[in-house]
Amino acid sequence: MDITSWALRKRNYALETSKAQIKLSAASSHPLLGGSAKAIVSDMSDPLNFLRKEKKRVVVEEYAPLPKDDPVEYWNSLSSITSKKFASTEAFKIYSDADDDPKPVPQTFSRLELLEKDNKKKGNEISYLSHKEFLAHINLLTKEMEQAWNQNDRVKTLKLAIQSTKMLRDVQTQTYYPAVFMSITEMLDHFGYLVYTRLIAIAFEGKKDVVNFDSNEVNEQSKETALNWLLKISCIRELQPRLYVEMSLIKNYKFLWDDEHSKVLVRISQQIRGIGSPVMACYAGMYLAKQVISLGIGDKSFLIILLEDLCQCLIGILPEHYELCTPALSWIFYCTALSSSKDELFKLIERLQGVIEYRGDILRIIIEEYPTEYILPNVNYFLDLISGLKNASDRMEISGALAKAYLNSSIDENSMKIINRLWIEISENGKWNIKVYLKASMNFLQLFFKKFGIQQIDILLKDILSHLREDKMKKDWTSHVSEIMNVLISNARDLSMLISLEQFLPLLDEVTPQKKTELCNKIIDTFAREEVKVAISNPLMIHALFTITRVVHDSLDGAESNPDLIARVSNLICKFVRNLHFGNNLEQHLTVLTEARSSFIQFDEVTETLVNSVLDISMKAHKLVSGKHNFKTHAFLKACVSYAHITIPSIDDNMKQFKLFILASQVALVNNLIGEAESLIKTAIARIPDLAEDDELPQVEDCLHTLIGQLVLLPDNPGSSSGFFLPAHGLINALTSLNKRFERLKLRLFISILWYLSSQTQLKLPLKIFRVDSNDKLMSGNANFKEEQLTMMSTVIEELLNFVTECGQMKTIDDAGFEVLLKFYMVLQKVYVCLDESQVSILLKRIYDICLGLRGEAKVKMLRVV
Amino acid sequence: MKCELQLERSSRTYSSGEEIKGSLLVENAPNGVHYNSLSLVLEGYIKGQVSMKSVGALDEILPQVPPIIICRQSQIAAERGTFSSPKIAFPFSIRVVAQEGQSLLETYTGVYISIQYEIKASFNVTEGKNKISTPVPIKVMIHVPGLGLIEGMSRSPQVQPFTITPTSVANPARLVSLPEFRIEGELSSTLFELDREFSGWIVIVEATKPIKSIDLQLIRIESIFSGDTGFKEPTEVQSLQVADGDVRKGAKIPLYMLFPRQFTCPTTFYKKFKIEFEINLSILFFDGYQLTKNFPIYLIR
Repeated sequence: MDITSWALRKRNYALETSKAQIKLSAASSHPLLGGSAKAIVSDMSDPLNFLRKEKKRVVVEEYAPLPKDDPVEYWNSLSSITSKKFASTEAFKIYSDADDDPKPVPQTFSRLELLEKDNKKKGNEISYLSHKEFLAHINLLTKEMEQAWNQNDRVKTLKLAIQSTKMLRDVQTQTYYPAVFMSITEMLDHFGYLVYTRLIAIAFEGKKDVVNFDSNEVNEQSKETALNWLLKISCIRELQPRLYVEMSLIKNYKFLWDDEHSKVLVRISQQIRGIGSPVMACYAGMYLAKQVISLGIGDKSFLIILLEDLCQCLIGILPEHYELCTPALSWIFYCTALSSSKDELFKLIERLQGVIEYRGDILRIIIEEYPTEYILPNVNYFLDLISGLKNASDRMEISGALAKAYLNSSIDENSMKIINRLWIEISENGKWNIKVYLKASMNFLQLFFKKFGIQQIDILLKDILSHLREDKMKKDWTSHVSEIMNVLISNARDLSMLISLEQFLPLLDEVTPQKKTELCNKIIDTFAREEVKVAISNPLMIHALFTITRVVHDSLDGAESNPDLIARVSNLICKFVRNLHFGNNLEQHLTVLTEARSSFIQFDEVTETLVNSVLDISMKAHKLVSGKHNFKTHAFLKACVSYAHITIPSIDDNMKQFKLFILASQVALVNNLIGEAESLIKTAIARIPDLAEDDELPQVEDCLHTLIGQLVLLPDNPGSSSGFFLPAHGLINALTSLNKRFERLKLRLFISILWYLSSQTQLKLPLKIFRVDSNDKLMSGNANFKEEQLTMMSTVIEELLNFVTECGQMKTIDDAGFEVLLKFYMVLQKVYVCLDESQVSILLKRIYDICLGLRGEAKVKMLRVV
Repeated sequence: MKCELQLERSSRTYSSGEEIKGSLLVENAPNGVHYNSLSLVLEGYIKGQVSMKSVGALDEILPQVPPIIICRQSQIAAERGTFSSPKIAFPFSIRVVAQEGQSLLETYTGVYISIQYEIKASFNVTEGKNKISTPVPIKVMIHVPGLGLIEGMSRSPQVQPFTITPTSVANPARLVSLPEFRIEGELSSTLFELDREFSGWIVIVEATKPIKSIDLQLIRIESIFSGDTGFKEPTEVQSLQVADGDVRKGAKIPLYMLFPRQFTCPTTFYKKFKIEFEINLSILFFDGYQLTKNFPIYLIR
């Protein structure tokens, strides 16, 4: 059979298309058209959207204002913050052997005994590996105590309570004292609770929920029991355990009398003077103040005495010890603030004046703990106090506290002036103590976030930066700077606000690389889920985003890192890339994309987005010039296409590569970049064996058909010496060498190729690209071209004929095979001239018979119609 | 059968002249058994005792000093009768008064001397087979208002100031080189009422060496005489730390102590027995150097 001699039909594609068109008319009704549907849509807010709106930004605990309205809540949050802050990572060391106490030598005892004792080794120390382990131990003690109590073993219960308080005294280094204090007092509170509820039960015959009562309402037995407890603890030898246990049982006095509490409280607060360590004294005072609050006694005059005493102790101590005291001081001042008037506040400040001169920070605590409506109306008084202080750090601390006071008040012109003055105070004194400076500026930062705008924040950050850079000690401020960053991150409205801060990146450079990564990760974590809606075109912002994402990108290893994180990061980068927007300045866009490509090489998703973006701007360029490229846009297009060409192979996924190559070739073709288009198509075709190997070929079959369709428009080089239809040749070769299991796929594609080849010598192609000359223009009348076309068609048809022969011998056929038969029939009939008795007609008849034999009349009806 | 003494007052504390009211409770007694002369006795005595820590001298002296009964009051709660119901209470009421020729002392438990008051019950049961055990005696605390106050002594407190300096310290032969210090303070009185607190204050005005601890020690001095031999022994009742660590100079640190029940009583001179109290104030420096200041005090009721 000489297939090349078969005559091709002349086609009029336009006519065929118009004939094939089905007339459509608008539907008068369909389910989506209903009038009520629209109402529902507008009424019902999207539940998912709702959630997103409600979602509060997770604010870092330390920067959130503490809940000062309720003492219990305030205590709890203060307690957890303090524990966290002072729970050191080092081992907790606590002496266990309390026998080694400094006992006075009884007159009758020989001194030798004592001397002997001194020679013995120091008491054993218990060392807990960590804060956690220590907490576990305290929990265990608490449980043991409760058990002893339930077994009516009062002595053991008391002993355990005392033992726990001894730990308070025996901590080896004070650095974690506050953390120890918090857990021990919790245990003591429980002890106090056990005793108190027991007393209530005795007094009110089993009732447990009696809250308010007078001492004359309780029976003699409960009074006696309460008194016994107090007598029992009054002979605990050591001062601190005695005080703590008494404080934990302070409610017991309610059973004895109604009106003498203040006497006891004054006495205990004076006894606290006996605690030599200022840190321990402050915390003992803190516990006393706490117990009094829970007792609900109005008279707090003793607190003033307590504060005066404690503050006196603080004058000469080391700064690090003072810092340990601050949570305790905050709490005690808070307690005094609870019921005091404005006048009392000023009286208190006057009484502490002498101390404040040495420890101005105390004034800071006062400002923070007293209600702002006492502070702000008298802000000038405080300004005067500040100017009376010599210590730069104190001045900064107080100014910072005042700034914080403005957080929740409205800002008028006058307060603007004051805030300005306070800021100058900090900015000028900053060089004396950068640590305090940074701490105070945090307050301003929050204030500026709340009340002012980006501009002011930027100025502030600039000032911070210049202070950091002027620091002569060149200390590492990483932890402080990252705190500032955290404030920025948690307060910024969205990502674009954050990165529109000019000083953001320079500040980021001040931290160690490791912390930098951590912070960038945090930024991405905070903002990745948000839609970045704003188009990004500001070069500074782009630079900022680049820096942040690059830091994170570089910290990740595509193979090893957490896939979730990778997804988040690449998602954010993709969003960023997609939101780049430069108007008509496409060249700049391309430059940024080029930069992005060199920055983010790890993730497929990002590379894919980059390629898509570059193709997108290519088409934008096409649209801008309405397809009429000039020299400049032509060059730009070339650059874009070669960007795609170079970038696509770096994607790991073969299918993605393949699809992108085809997409890129289409863009090239549309923009009259014939050579580029052809080479992209060839590269795509070269991927076929790989795709086949990974069994991914069936998933891209559609793309292959599209590709063949695209070939219709791809012009050949009329002066070519190496032949025509080069891409098609490649495709046919690639398909022919495929494994047998892709047989059907190959045949289907061959049929498409037949359609394509047959179109190439028609007078007019079914489609046309503006300003692109296809083969109908270029090759008409080219004999070599026509000859090659017919040869190729015959090659393809031969392959298909083999299949027909095979089918002739089969008794049944699957749907896919049958479909190939039908399609082959149709293409033959359409492409070739079918004269009676010609080879084509005989062939058609044969295929028809086979089909009839295999599937019967009904299934082949359509062939007859054709 | 259960037999128990019960007092109305749960504190079991009574002043001299007061009635101790209570009852003897008998539960599940054998029905129909007779009893007679059911009586109760309140007995108080003072005696010397050998303690674990006793020194040799006491062993010789003690046998020569017999216990002195200072109070014995009895009451017949029921003459005769028959146990008829499962639960019977025999109420009683005994007045706290001294034996003739003696005077009441307060309950006290010391190391060598002990003053105790007990209520015991006894009765006869006629039917021999059903022996009824007598109930466990119970101890009562007796307070004697005014005790300890010596004639001519005023109850009103007399403040007792003190100052300790290197020159005021007994330092024979200048054995130790003393740090520079000046310690001031006062006891709010020389005599203290037992149901009030011991009080005072101390101030470290100056000290060149850091202080480790300040302690308040309550000492009792018990003496027993027999003829011309005697025995006198100070022992610690309790010790309380009032300062822990190097306290701030100039801080007025309270001296505060509650007198423990049982182990303290009014200062007592009674025939061959003597119970006195003292306060030791010790200041311990970090280098181990210790100052002790002793204050005799009177305890009164």
